[in-house]
Order: sequence, then structure tokens, then C-alpha cells
Amino acid sequence: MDEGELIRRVLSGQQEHYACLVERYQKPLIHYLRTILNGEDQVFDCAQEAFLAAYRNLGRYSVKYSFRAWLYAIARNKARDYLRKQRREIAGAVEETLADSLPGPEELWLAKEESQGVAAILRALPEHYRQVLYLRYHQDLSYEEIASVLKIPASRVKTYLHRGKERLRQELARRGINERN
Amino acid sequence: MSGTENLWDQIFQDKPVSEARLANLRLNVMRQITEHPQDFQGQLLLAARKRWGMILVGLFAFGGLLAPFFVLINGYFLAELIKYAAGKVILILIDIKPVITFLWDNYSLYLLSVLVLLVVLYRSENRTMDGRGAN
Repeated sequence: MDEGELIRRVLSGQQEHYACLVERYQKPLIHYLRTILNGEDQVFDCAQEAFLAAYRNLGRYSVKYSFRAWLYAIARNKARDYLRKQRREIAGAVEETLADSLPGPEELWLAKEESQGVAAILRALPEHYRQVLYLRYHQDLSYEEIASVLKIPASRVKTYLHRGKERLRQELARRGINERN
Repeated sequence: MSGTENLWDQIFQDKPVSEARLANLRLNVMRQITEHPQDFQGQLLLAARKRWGMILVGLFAFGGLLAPFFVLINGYFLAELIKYAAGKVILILIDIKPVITFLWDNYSLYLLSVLVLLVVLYRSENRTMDGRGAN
């Protein structure tokens, strides 16, 4: 059953069909949220809130647009709220825990190891480049879908993709990793 | 191309997601939905009513705003029309004034004589009709 039909059924009162939408998009949504949030619990909480918010606002959703992009946009807003909340909490507690938060020798060694890995290259990129590259090349979203997720014009998505790839290439060259590897 | 794709795969490698956690997430979402279901039909109806209400209010507000404007415009044109007509009448009167003066100077005595004669004749006729002239 296509997603338009599923949404129509949920809107007509058959709520159980929403489970199909959750099942279809939960995994990619969690992977996407992992590019924004750090903790696994946060990622799952955020995904749950996003699905519930999408359900509550399903009446406002238009089938002209992609449900996935709409869901991702909701999830992204939720994730940003989480990050803001987290930043406030950290700012409040930073004075109390400053001494404890200094990394030990083992943590420093692990961080160094991670920084040498390929995944660290992505972390080195600015968030907007990282998200555009991830959504385009890993989740196969169209330019228009990415534009609606990130709430930017499609032309800027193309610019971010181009610049993101350029930055990635520079980063790879700097670390001595060949694209053909 | 495959090298680049391989690179993307390496860079964007997704950590596996626990199936148990996914099932739990789905259950939690569906439990909350079942506990608090949304009345989408009611919401759609309410939204349609709100939309029509807004359109009506907009129309009334627009009409209310435009009505004085139309009155002003119409009043302005009416005043202009009256002024134009009055101006024309005055011009005509100014033009025919010498004619009237000329006629009055030359023919007023004759005209008055005829009028007096008519009045006298009319009155004598009336007296004959109601019988007073017979006495």
C-alpha cells in the first residue's frame, strides 16, 4: 500500500495503519537523527516524539509533498530543541563539573584513534554540509525533499552539496585517503 | 564511480539499530496514538469552517472599508454633476437676459394690458356663472 493511501486511511479514522508508516520510516529516521544527536536514548526519544507530532498534525499534511521529508523536518526541529535544551543544561552545570570533564589519557587515546577514522572526516564537516551529503548520498532524498527538510531553497542544497564534496575531498587529501580506496 | 560510492558507504556507515528497540519504539507510538486518537474528520470540518469564516469576515471587512470610499467617490461625482448642470443653467440665463430685458422694455405695457383685460373678462364671466351678475 502506498503512503498516500495509508495516510488517507489514518485520516479516515483507521489509526492502526499508522504503524505501517512508523515501520517504514523508523530505521532511516533513526539513522538520520544520529547525524544530529549524540546519545542513542536521545535519538530514540526524538524519533518517537517526531512520529507522534507527525500523527497529531497529519490533518495539515498535504499528499503533494513527500511524507518522509515532512517527517524528517519535524524530527530535525525536535532534535534541535533537544540540542538547545542540552546546551542550556551543560552551560548551567559547566562550572560544577569543569574539573571532572577533562579527558583522561585513555579517552585522549580513543579520541585520537577515532579522529583518524573515516567517520571522523564527516564529523569535521560543518553540520549543514554533513546533513545535505548524508541525505543525498546515503538516504537518496531528492533536492526538493532535502530543501523541505532543512527549510532552505533547492538551489542552496546544490551549493551545499558542491561545497560539501569539495571540503570532503580536501579533508581526505589532508588525511592521505584516496577516493578510489 | 564505484570507488566514490564505496567511499560514501565508508563515510556514512550506519551503525546497526537494535530490532528490539525499533519494535519498542513502534509499540510506544501506537500505544499513545490508541490512548489519544485524533478526530481528523472533526479537525478538517473545523478547518473548513474556520476558512469560510475567515473569508466571510474578510469580505465584510473589505466591504466595510470600501463602502465609504464608494460613497465618497459617488458624492464627488454627484457634486461635480450638479455643479456642471448649475453652471450650464446660469450660462443660459446670462445669455437670454438681454433678450428678456429687451422684450420687457418694449412689450411689457402691451403684455400687462392684455393680462389686465384677461383678468377682467375672467372675473365678469365668473360673476355671470354664479348668478351674482343677474341681481
